[in-house]
Amino acid sequence: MTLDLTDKLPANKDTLIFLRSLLEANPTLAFAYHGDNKSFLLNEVAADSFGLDQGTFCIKESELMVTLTNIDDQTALAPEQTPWMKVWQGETLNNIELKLRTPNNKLMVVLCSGKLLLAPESKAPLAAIITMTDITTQYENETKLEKNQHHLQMILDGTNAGTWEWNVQTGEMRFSAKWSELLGYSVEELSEMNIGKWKALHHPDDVGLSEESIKAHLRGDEPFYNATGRIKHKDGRWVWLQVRGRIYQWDDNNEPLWVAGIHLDVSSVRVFEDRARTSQSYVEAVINSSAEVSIIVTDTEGLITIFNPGAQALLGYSEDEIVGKQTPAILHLESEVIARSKELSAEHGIEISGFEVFAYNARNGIPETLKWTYVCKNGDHKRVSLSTSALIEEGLESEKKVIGYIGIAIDETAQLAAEEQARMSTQRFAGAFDSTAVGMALVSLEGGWLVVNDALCSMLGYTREELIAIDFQTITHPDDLENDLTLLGQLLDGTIPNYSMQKRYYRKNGELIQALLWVAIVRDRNGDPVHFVSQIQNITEEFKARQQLVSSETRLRGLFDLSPIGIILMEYRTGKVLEANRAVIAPTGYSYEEFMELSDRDITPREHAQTMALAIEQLRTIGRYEPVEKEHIRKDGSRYPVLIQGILMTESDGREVVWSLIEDISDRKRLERIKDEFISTVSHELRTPLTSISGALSLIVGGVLGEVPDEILDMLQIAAKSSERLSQLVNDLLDMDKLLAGKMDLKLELIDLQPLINDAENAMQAFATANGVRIVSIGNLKMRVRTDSGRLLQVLSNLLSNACKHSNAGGQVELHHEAGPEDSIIISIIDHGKGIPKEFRSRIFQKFAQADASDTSDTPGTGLGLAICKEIIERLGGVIGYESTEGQGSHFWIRLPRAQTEFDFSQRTPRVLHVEDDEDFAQLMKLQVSNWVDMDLATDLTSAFEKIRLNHYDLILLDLFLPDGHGETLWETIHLAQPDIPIVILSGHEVPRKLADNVAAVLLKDEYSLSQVVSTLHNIFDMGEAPK
Amino acid sequence: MKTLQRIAHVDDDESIRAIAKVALERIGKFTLLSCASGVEALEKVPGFAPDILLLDVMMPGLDGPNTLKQLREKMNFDETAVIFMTAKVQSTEVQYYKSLGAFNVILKPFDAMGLSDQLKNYWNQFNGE
Repeated sequence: MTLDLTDKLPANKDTLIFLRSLLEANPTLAFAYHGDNKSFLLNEVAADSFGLDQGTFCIKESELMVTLTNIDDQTALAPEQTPWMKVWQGETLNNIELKLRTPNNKLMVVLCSGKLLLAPESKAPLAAIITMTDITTQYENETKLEKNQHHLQMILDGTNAGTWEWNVQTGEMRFSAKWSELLGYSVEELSEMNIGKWKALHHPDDVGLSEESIKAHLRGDEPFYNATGRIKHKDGRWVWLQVRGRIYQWDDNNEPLWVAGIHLDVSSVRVFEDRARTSQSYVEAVINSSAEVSIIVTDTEGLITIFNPGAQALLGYSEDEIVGKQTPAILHLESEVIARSKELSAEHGIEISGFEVFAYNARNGIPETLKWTYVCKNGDHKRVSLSTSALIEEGLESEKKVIGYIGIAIDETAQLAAEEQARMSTQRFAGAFDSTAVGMALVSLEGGWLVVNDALCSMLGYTREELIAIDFQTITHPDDLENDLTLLGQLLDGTIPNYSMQKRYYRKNGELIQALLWVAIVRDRNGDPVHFVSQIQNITEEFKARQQLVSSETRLRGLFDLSPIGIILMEYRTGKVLEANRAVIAPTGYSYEEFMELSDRDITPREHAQTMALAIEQLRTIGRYEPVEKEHIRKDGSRYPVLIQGILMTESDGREVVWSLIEDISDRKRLERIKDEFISTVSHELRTPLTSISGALSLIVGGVLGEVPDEILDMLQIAAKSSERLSQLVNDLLDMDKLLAGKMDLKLELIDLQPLINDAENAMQAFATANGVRIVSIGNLKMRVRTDSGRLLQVLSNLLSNACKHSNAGGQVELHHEAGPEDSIIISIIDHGKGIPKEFRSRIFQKFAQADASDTSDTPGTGLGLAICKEIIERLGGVIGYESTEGQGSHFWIRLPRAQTEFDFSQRTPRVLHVEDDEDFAQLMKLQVSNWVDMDLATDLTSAFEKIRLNHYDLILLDLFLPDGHGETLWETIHLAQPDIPIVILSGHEVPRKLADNVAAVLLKDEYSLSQVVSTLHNIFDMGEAPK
Repeated sequence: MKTLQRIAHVDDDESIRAIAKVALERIGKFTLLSCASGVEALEKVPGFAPDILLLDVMMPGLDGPNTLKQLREKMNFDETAVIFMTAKVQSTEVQYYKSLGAFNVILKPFDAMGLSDQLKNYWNQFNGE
């Protein structure tokens, strides 16, 4: 402000009042100064600003409490430099900027003006009039602006940016020097630039883009003009520029006038952008996913910016707790930091402390790895190996800049433990190495044996020294070497972590062994291979055994597949088919796959279920089942007969399986039928002529037609006898045929026994007489029996005929009948002839069995008699049996009708005959079972036969060595006559195989306790192994 | 009771007829009519009026049962015992023959020497003794 009061100043003594009124008229800070008396007269604003008491307007210079300083250099003004002194000296001041510090320490920026006031007439100095305008706010704003401008310029310089301005209305463009550098021009060259020329420098593809953006900004749609495009460099190449700008001036019509902005060369950015983006995300991913390694990143000042999961795990802090914190404060031991600080300081001769301890070397391109102690959140100390390095921003060599530090720490605590463990396991390995039965070796990369254990030496037949002198290639079978070397190569190049193979080694003596080789590789810290570790197991024996197994399996498999006998494997428990050969499956019409889905139930008709149930019980008790005939059902529902037998086996896995042999007996059955039909037909056809022959002969021999000369009679008698035999044979054949075909119908009726016995005796008397034998009938029972009298008579006749035939001349045949238990009768036919030869006994009830086939003249017979008798008696519900002692005769007996022997022991008590000469033992046995078994005792064979004849037993408990003979005799009789009665041999001696195989159980007295015997009996009864 | 005297025997087998003739005429002293077929029997038996008709079951052409059936239309069997001769032995068949009116069945091969006695035995039974 200009102040010129000279004209208005009064020239009288009222000057002071005049000055005051003059000063007070000024709204800003104003005062007058008199240089001679060095006093100030101040207006109210000034007095207030200068800290004077209220009402005081005049002060001496010495009392002035304000300090004035220059605005630029902040130095206080010397007394002669003060504006009032300058003005008093005659200088006029115009808007001098000064800083003024008030007594209450308020800093003001003032604009100071001053002029000397002269007296009107004397022109003597009257006072220096000074005004000061407070421009503090304005100044501060300016300063800030200036600073910003300064910063902006620095940034622009730093970012390689050029600035530009564009007059929207005239098209004039101005560029900074930096800008012209970007495009290779001098400022002068671009001084004539306008928007048209500018556009011409654009890459044709980018013009549209930049125009769109600036139009949007000019319209006010976008706050900035922002685009990236290519501009032609002076040397012809394209430079990528990022442009950013905005309107900064509008004209009076509020139309955009000037737009200013920057251009940034982003060519290098564009090139590196993708690469940077990729590598940055990669690094981040690595850092974040690394849970094993602690990674801590700081900015240049040591503020933590990244605290990865590994660090979180190691130190126990969460990311939130740590990021933003200053390191090393909380993570490190102060003592360690100080110690390191001293070290570094001494080393470099400058003070290095705090975060610099970690950053100093790193920043200078020396990454370092040192042991530090980390302090965990919970106070634990963790020994770590910490590697620190600087993060350098990518760029030109000269522009490389440290942007932070990264510290990677590995928990040494765990590492130390691992090392200890490794040491331990090495020891253990060494121990195992020497003591193991498996061959072990360290093998050099070239194949030489480095270290070998005893087992390997003995396996290969070399001494340790010999072995170490050679390599593995030398003793490897040539055919296995290539494979071994290939695998070794893969192991070396890291394709595989280890390998195992079966190979052959030559022993020192040339013998070839089969071995199982396992090889691993040992690598050093750098991952370079050191040697191999080999484990070699001699499997020659196993290999041979396996080979044998394979070949025997192959053989068996061949047999299995080719066998004309069906072989089938079934699961015992379920009957499920596990395996079956072609011979089993082919007749069924099923495919292999279909058949495998079946179980025994699917192929067995329901009516055979009982047969198979019995077989299963046999399997359970004696481990196999006797051949039985059954039928199988084909896929189409038709049936065919099979003969099946099997054994129970336990697989190695404990599963019980049944191997069965199945013979398709369709053909056999068909042949049997043809044979039977043939016999039947032939017999019938023979009958008629035989009737004639024997009839004619008997009439002649009987003398009906008159006397016949003796010689002729003899011949005719032979003919007659033979024709009778032939007739009898034909009759028997037909009977048998009918019996076996089930065509013989029995006519059961209640008849008196006595007359039947008489009939039999009478019928055979003539025959007996002819043989010189006498039939004696003993017994006189008034008893009725339900039977087929004709058939019974046939049986009795047959037995009597046999007895007569086998009696010695003059001998006696006894026909004996008596009452048996349970409404049965027992008929015995006893002769005293030569008895039944032992070797014939097993066949006695078989068809066409005769003791001595050559002995026909002596004992003529058809050989069918006993077979027919047995069939008939069994059909009549009876039992036939015999006892015989060679040289003393035979005793055949029949028991009729048999008691109902349904095996329902809930209804009745099972009856057991114990044949045992040791009465004490028998008594013990009886006591054991007295509550559920009716036990009968026979102390010798004779009484045993007697009891069997008289009674029905559900089981025979048989001792073999008896006072009057061997128990086998009894077994034979029962086995042949009543095979359904189970026999348990309870003996103190070994039992002949033939016998053991044909009884329900064999129990040796000294091996089985009584209770075991009892439980065996119990099992047999429970399973229904009983007579039908 | 009338004494057994007249026996008619029908059988296609000549040998059987010959043996039966000897057995019955020589041993039993019976009056015998032998016929070689059912047809011949139909012709001759009604006029012969036998005490026992001995009839073979299996004959070509007219078999035993059918011969009997047709004979029933020609004569009264109240006083005549019919006995079949057959090789078949099943009791159901015996029942069947009895249902046809046979008194009994003699099984082949028969005992030539005992045949006369067997017939006398049946005759007695036929007459309720």
